Amino acid sequence: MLKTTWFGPTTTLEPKPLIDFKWFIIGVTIFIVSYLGIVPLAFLIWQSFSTPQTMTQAAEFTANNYVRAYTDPQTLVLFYNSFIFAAGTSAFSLVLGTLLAWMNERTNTPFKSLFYALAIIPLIIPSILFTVAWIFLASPEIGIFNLALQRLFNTDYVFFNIYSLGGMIWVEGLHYSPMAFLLMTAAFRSMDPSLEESAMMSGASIRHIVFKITMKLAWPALFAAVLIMFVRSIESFEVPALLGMPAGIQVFTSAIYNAIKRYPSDIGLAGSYAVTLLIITSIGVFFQSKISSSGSKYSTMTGKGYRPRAMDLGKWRYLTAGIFIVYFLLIVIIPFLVLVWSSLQRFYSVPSVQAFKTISFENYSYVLQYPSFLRSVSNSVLLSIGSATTIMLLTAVICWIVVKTRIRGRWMLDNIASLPMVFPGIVLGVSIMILYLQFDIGVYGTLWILFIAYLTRFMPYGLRYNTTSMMQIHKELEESAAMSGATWGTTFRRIILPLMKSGFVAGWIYVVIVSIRELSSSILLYSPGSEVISIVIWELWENGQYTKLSALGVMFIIALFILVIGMQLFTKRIGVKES
Amino acid sequence: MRRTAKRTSVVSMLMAIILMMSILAACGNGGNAEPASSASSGTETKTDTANGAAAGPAFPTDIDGLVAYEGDDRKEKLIEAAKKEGNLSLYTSMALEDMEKVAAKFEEMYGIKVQIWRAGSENVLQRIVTEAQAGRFDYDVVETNGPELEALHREQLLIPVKSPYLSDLIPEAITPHGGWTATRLNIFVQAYNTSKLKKEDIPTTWEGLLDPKFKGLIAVEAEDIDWFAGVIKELGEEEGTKFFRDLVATNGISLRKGHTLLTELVASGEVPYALTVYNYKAEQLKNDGAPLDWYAIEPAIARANGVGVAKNPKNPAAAVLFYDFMINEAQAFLAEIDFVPTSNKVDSSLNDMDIRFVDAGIILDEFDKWEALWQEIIMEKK
Amino acid sequence: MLNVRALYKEFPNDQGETVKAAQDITLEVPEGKLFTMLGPSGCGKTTTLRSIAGLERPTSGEITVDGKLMYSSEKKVFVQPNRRDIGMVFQSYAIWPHMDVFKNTAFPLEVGKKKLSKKQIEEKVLRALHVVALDGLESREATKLSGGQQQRLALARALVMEPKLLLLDEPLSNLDAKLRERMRFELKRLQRDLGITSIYVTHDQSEALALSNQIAVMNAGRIIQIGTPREIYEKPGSQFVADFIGSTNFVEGVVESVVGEGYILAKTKIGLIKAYSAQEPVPGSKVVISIRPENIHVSHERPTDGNVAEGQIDTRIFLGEYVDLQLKVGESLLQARTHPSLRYPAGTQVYLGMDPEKCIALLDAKSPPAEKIVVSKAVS
Repeated sequence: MLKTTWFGPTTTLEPKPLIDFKWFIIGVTIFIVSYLGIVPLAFLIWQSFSTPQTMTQAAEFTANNYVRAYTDPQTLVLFYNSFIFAAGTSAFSLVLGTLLAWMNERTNTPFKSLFYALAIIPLIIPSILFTVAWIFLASPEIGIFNLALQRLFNTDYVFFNIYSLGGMIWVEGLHYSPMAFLLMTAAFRSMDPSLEESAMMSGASIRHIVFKITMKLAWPALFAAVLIMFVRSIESFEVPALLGMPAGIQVFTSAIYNAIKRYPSDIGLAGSYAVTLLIITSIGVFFQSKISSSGSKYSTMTGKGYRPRAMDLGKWRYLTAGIFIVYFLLIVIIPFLVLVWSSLQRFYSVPSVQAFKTISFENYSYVLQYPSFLRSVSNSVLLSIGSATTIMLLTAVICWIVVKTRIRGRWMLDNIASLPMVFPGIVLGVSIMILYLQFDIGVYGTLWILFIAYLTRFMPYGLRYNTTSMMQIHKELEESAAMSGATWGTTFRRIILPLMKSGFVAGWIYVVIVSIRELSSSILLYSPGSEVISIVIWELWENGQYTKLSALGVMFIIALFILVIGMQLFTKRIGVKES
Repeated sequence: MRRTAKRTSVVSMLMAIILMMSILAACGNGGNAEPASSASSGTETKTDTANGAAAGPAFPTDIDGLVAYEGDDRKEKLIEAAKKEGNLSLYTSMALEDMEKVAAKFEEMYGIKVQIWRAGSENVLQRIVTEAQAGRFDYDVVETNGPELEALHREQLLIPVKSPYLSDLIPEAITPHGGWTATRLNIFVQAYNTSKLKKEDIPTTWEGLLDPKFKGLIAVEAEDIDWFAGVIKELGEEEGTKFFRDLVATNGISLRKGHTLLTELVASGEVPYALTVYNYKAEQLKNDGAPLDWYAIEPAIARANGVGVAKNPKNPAAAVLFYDFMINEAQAFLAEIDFVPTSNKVDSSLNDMDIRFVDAGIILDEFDKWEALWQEIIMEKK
Repeated sequence: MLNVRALYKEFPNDQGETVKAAQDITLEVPEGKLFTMLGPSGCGKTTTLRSIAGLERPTSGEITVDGKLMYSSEKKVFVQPNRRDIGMVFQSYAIWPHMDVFKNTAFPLEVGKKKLSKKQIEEKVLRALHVVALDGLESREATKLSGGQQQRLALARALVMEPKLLLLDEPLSNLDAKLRERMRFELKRLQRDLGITSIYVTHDQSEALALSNQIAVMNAGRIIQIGTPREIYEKPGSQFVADFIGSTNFVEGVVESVVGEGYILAKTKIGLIKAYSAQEPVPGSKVVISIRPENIHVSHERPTDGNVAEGQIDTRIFLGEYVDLQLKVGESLLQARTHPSLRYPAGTQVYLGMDPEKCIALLDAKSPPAEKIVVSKAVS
C-alpha cells in the first residue's frame, strides 16, 4: 500500500530565499550579544585609562589608575581576602548545591517533589535581609543560636561568630547554594541513568557511581557553577560590608566601592581593579570552552534508551531525607521565620513573650500602601519576566553556536557574553547611562534602559545555564530533525528548546529572581514612572525600616515561590517527562 | 551566500561593532556642551512670549532673571509663572516617604505636580553630572547632602537664588557662594543600649570613652569620615588624632555599614554603644519603645542637607518657588517629621545644643587626607 | 539514483593537523538497491554518508540524488539537509525523548515542505508504524520503548515522509545479537518491498553480506573495492578486503610461473600452491595467498586434484554448527572449518585439499607482517 505512493511527483527545489533564516537569527543574536557585552567593556577599559572628569577638568589619558591600583601593597591583602572568601564560598555552595541537586534528581529521597521550589528560597531573600537574619541568628552578642546554647550549657562560650571569614563564607555560601542547585539540577535531569546503571552493574557502589560517573559527566556544569559563583562572590558587596567590616576583613569590592563613591567619582580606578576580574573570568571561560568543544563527550541525552529515572538509595534515603529536613530547618525555615517574626514587630527584638504581645500586621499594610509600590511591582514583574525570557532565548542561540558549530572565534562570543558578569553593577549602570544619553534613541528615562541593563547584567548567567544543558544534547537528535525536513528554526523551537528545558527553566528562574533584586545599576537608571521593587527594598533599608522590609521580603518570597511552582507545573507539559 | 555566511567569523562581526561604537562615541563627545545651552534658550524664548503678552511690566521668565528678581511682587509672580509650568522635577536623597509628604504639602499649596527621583546622595550626584555631561537637564531642583551639593556647585550645575527667606536661617545654613542652602541638619549623636549600659556609666566627654570598661562595646558607621574630621578639628588636630589612636588601642572600634543598621543594632543589643547615629532615627526607635537612648557629647557634629536650583531648569519658576518653599514654609513641617530644620523661626529640641557644622567645601578639598587618616587609624590599614 | 563523484572531505583537528576523512569517493547506486559502505571505524564511511545527507559539507566533489544536484564544489551548490528529501536512521536512533511515538513519527510530516491535513498526517503515520510493526504503540512515551522498538520507530520516522533515498548509519549496532539478526531480515524485506534506494553503513561484515546488493569496502578514507557480496567475499582485491570480510589464512609466497587463465604457481612454506590471480604478476614477485578456512578440506586420504598439503591437527574447537581446526603444516598454522561430523582428534596426521579457484593470490603493496602466516580474527 505504501509502495503506491512511494515516489510521488517530486517537487523541484524552491529558489533559495534571499536571507537564510538561520543565519539571519544567528547574525542578529551575535550582534545583540556583542553589542550588549562590548559597550560596557569598551567603557570600562576606556575609563580605566582616564582621569576623573569634572566640569572644570576634562578627562585625560593616564595609566596611573593601574599604577595606583596595583602598586599599593594593600591591594594584595584585599586580593588575598577576596580570593579566600570567593574560593570558600564557591566550594561550600557548590558542595551544598550539588548534594541537594543530586538527592533531588538522582535519588528516591522522600519529599523531594516539594524540594525544587523550596530550595531556592535563600536566593529569593534579598541579600541584605539574609545577612541581617544571620546576624540575629549567629552573632556573638545577640545571636539566637549562641544565646540558646549558652543557656543550655550555662556558659559564656561563643559558639558561633558570624563576624569572621568563616561566617562570611557560611552566609554567602548558603545564599548562593541555590545557584549551584539550579545548575546541577539541570545537569542531572538530562543525564541518562543507564550510564549510572551500567556502572552499578559493573559492581560499583553508590559512592563510586557518584564520584566516578555522575560527577564526571556533570563536570561541565560543575565548572560553570564554580566559575559563576567564584566571580559572583568576588564582586559581592553586602556580606563583606555587613560581616567582614566589623571583623576588619576588607575585600576587593570595598576598594571598588570607595573609588566610585568619592567625588569626582573615580570610575577609572574602579575599572582598573575590575580588569583583574575580567582576566580571571576570561581564563575561566576559556577553559569552559575547552570543555564544551570536547563536544559529544558530555552529551548524556542521546536518542536511545534515554529514560530519566532516579536511583534507589535503599535505606540510605532516610539519611538523605534527614539532610533535606536539616537543610530546610536551618537554611530555609529559620531565616524565613526570623523574617516573619521581625515583619510582625515594630523594631527587631529577640523573641520573647513580651515581644509576642506586640505583633501586628501594620508593616504589611504599610508596604502595600507605600508610594509607587504597585507600579514598582508591575514594572519589576514586567522587566524580570521580559529580561529572563529574552536572555534565555538569546543565550540559547549563543550557546548553540558555541557548542554545536565550528564557527571560528566562537570562543570570543562566549567570552563577550560572559564578561558583563564582572562589571561592578554601578559601572555597568554608568556606562549604559552614558551610552544612551549620547546616543539618544528615546530609551533614556524609560523602562527600556533598565531592560537593556538587565539583559547585559544577567546574560552571562543565562548563558551558563543554557550551555550546561546544550552540551548534554546529542547532536544526532538535532540532525535527525534536519533529515526530517525541518528548518533550522523549527528544529530549534521544537527539538532543541524542549530538550534543554531543565537548564532553560533553571536559568529563567534564576534571572527572574536576580533581576527583581538588581539594585546597583537600577538605582541610577530608573526614573519617575519606572521605579522597580529593588528600589523600594533599598529605600526601606536606607530608612532603617527593617521590620517593614521584612514584611516586603516575606511577601516577596511567597510570590516568587508561587511563581516558581507555577513555572514548574507549566513546564511539566513540555520537555522530557520523568518516569 | 550561505557559504560566505558560514565563513563570517565572530571576530569580524565584533570589529564592525567596535567601529560603530567608536563612531557613536565620537559623535557624542562632539556635541557635548552645545545642546545644553540650546535646550535652555529654547525654554526661555517660549515662556518669554507667553508671559510678555499677559503682564505688562517685565517679570523675568528665564532662570537668570528669576533668581535675581527682588521686587515686592516676587511671590505672586513666581506662583503665577510656576502654575503655568505646572510641573517640577526633583532629584533627592531624602527618604522617599518623607519627601512625598513634603512634596504633597507643596502640591497642596501651589498646585504644582512634583516628580520625585530618589536615590542615595552619591547616586544623585552621579546621575546629575552624567546627564549634564551629555547635555541633558532633567532636574529642576536637587535636595541632598551638603558635600554632594557642594560638588554640584563646583560642577557649575547650580545657581544661587536671591530669596527673601534666607535671612530666617541660621548663618551656618548659608553657603558663601549661595549655590545651595542648608535646609535641615543631620546631627551625629551617640546612642547606647539601655539594657547593656546604665545611664550613669555613659561618658559625657570624648576622653571618658577611653575607660577600659568600654572595651569591645564601641562601634562607628564605616564611612563617617566627615564626622571624624569634625571631631578631630574640634579637639585640635594633634589632640584629636591622638584621641582616636588611643581609643582604638584601648577599646577598639568596630565598623558597621549604614547608620540605620547601626541604630537598629544598638536597639537589638548587638552594638552596646554607637558613636555616630542620626538623632532622628535614634529618637524614632526610642519612641517605639526600643531599649535605646541617645545623647550628644558636645559640641555635636552636624552634617547639612540642603537644596539647590538647577542651572538649566525646564521649570524655572517652579524650581525657585520650591527653593523658597523649602527654606520657608517647609521648615516647620520638617521639624514635625523629626528633622532638625535650619530656620531660626522653628523651634527644635536641638536648639540649645552646641553644634559644629561640617564644612562641605572643606570636606571635598581635604577628603583624601581625612580618608587616609581614617583608614590608618579606624580601619587599621597598614 | 545516487551519484557521488570524487568526493573529498578534509578538516583540521584540535592539534591543527588535517584529517583526510574521505578521499576520492566515487560511487553509483542504482534505483531500488541497497548499497553498503563497510569498513573499520574511522574509515570514512560515516563521513561519506553524512556528506550525502548534507550534515557535512565536503571539501570538494559532487553529489547527485535522483538527477538533482545536491552538492557540487565546482558549481558552488549545497542543498541544506532539510531540503534534500532524504530519510535517515541514526546510530543512536535519535528518538526525541520529549515526544511520544506518534509525535516522533509525525514530525517530518508536520515540518516538511508539503502541507498536509491532520487526517493525512495521521493516516501516513499509522501506515508507517504498521510497516515497522509498531501498531498500537502510538501514544507510548518514546523513552519507554525497548531498543528494538526504538530502532523501528527511527525507521518509521525516516520512512514516513517517503524519501527518495534512505540512509542508515549502523542502525543495528545497538541491538543484541538475536534481535540484530531478526531486524536484518526485516530491514531487507522492507527495503525490497518498498523498493527504496538505501545506503547502509556498517562495520559488521556479516550484516553487509546479508543485506546488500552492493558493497563498498572502505579503509583510511578510500574505497578499496566495490562489488556484490559474493565478489567481495570470493574474489577480494586486496589483502585488506580479504582480511576484513570473513576470516582467512594468509600464506606468503613467491611466484614461480604464470600458468594462464588467471592462475599462477607460487612457492610457499606449505608447498607449491596454484592460485587464482586477477593480475598477472612477474615470476619472482612476492604474493600473499588468501585461503578461507571453509575452503580447506581436511581428510585422511590424499585428495586427487587441487593443491595438497600435509599437516597435523594442533587444536580442535567444537562450535556446534562446525568445528574449527588449527592445522600445523611445517612451521605454519592454518585454520580450517569442517563439518562437525569430522571427528579427528588432535594430533591426527591429515591431508589438506585446497581448490586453486578458492586460493586467491594478492599482490598487496602493504605486505603483512613477514614470516608468520596470519590467521585473521574469527567471525564473531
